[in-house]
Amino acid sequence: MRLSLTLLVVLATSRVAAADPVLSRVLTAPTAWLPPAGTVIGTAGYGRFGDGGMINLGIGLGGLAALDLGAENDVRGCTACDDDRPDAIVMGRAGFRLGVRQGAWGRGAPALVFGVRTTFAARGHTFGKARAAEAHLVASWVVGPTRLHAGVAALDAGFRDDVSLGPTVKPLAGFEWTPREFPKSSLMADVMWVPRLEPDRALLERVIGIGVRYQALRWGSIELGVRNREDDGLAGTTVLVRVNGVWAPRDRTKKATPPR
Amino acid sequence: MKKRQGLIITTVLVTAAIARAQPQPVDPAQPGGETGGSGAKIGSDSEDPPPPPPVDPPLTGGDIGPDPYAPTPGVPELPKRKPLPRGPISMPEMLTTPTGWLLPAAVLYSRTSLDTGGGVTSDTRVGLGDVAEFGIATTDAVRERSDDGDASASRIQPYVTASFRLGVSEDRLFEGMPGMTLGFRKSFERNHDGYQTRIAELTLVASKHLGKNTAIHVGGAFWDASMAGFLSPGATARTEFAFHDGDVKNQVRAFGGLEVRPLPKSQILIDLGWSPEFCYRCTSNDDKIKLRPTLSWGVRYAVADFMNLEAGVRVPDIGTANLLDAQIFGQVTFTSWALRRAVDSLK
Repeated sequence: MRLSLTLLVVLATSRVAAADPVLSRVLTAPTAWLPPAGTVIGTAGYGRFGDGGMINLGIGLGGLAALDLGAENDVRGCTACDDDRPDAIVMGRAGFRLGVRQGAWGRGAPALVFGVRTTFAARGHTFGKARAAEAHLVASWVVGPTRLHAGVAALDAGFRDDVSLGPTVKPLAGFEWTPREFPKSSLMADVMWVPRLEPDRALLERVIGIGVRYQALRWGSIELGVRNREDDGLAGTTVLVRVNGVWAPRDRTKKATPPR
Repeated sequence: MKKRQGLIITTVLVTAAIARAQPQPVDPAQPGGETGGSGAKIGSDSEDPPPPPPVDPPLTGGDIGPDPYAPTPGVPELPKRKPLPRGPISMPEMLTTPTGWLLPAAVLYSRTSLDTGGGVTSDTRVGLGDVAEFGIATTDAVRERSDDGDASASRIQPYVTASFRLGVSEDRLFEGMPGMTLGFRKSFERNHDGYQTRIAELTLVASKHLGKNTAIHVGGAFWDASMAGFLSPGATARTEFAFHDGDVKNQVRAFGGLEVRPLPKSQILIDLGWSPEFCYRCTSNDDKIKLRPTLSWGVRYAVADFMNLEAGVRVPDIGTANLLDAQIFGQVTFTSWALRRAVDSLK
């Protein structure tokens, strides 16, 4: 109890970061961070069993939205689901997120984003016209050394024209902690739901992820994480590695200040 | 001793300061000097002054003769050209619906769009005399189904349309008047899978700025469409069905949108429009041609005066709330005053 109270007081009295971070996800769960206008974010990842692999390019639009385009294999599918491990399905992904920054609606107000992600051009599977879509509403706070993310997502998936999950609402959450002693390292954890396709149905499976992000360069970071999916057991946990790069255009509107 | 020295120094400094504050005397020998003529008269009331000795003009400054670019007296000056309006304009299109704003005269407009449904569209327009505009576009909004059992509609693209809109700009006739346009859009006949289809749309839109950063668009559309082919299960003869053969109220729809500019270069756009869907072999005539509501939202970011980036989400049939049908789109819009400048230079 005392520990909880102490923790609450510390978090409540911690300073709020001046600028939001820019990465749009923790490990699987989306965040409410939006990149500044014109800022480009690239991510590439690889995971064991092909799980967690991704390549993505995002760009900040006007300081209040972001557009993402890439491919990933979060969605899995199986044809003999009792015996075999589901295979990762590589799908093109595009997302559009619209929101406000932390503090934009008053002191202490979280960053808030409403985003839609949808798939296109699915490859490497036997599910004809496989599709997945997601609409999420996420709030993110920077509170002292931690970053908290919470929200809800409406998920849908289907294949052919006759199999569809239907919009299903699930919660999502994420947590990041950057110890003051190691300002370049962050511990991350999140929970999210992703679709799984079976021969005659589509369903959602919970994904829990834990990992570390190391901000090796001012513009680049590397992540190492593990993810566990519902029904996979501990032995089915997969390891993934990702690299992120952020490129921000120079603000030419600012006047150069001559050195004194 | 020190006191005397101080007095001397003070006197010298004050004298020097006063001397520097005096206007520099003009050399009486210089022609054109303010006192050149009168200076020569000093001491000689009646006699003509001696001609001044020739002096080489200075390399910099001094009298270098008359300005060759000075306006010639007696020659009427040409009227100065009015500076052209340039820069950002009020866009003639939201995300999927038209606005009540027209392109300025001779301004070119081009928009190219991509979306995750594989749609590629373009829209090219030109403003005509500040009261009309003409455009050619391709759209991927028209969709088709084969029969009643076909659950998912697919798009017919490219669908080429031509449009003409005329109207009055905002505040033109009276203060507070919204911009209004009457537009007509008609497609070329499209042959797809053995069926010929056509669409036409008549729109009346009003657009009004509410303050500096908000605008609202409200309009009504009267749709028509037709299709020809084997229009019933087991049909052996080609027939034609037109939208106007059914109930008129099915052809009329209201549409609208909202623009908000929370940041100087960024706008949030939301609009609701309609698009036709053909069902070739549906048994009921009411199902053969239907209008489906399309909800879109997104952001317009002004990269430059002549260029906008837009991105957002489009849900082609929001009535079914099918999330899987949602499309992410990105589009780039260019506007150009080059033709306007060229036209103006001919005047």
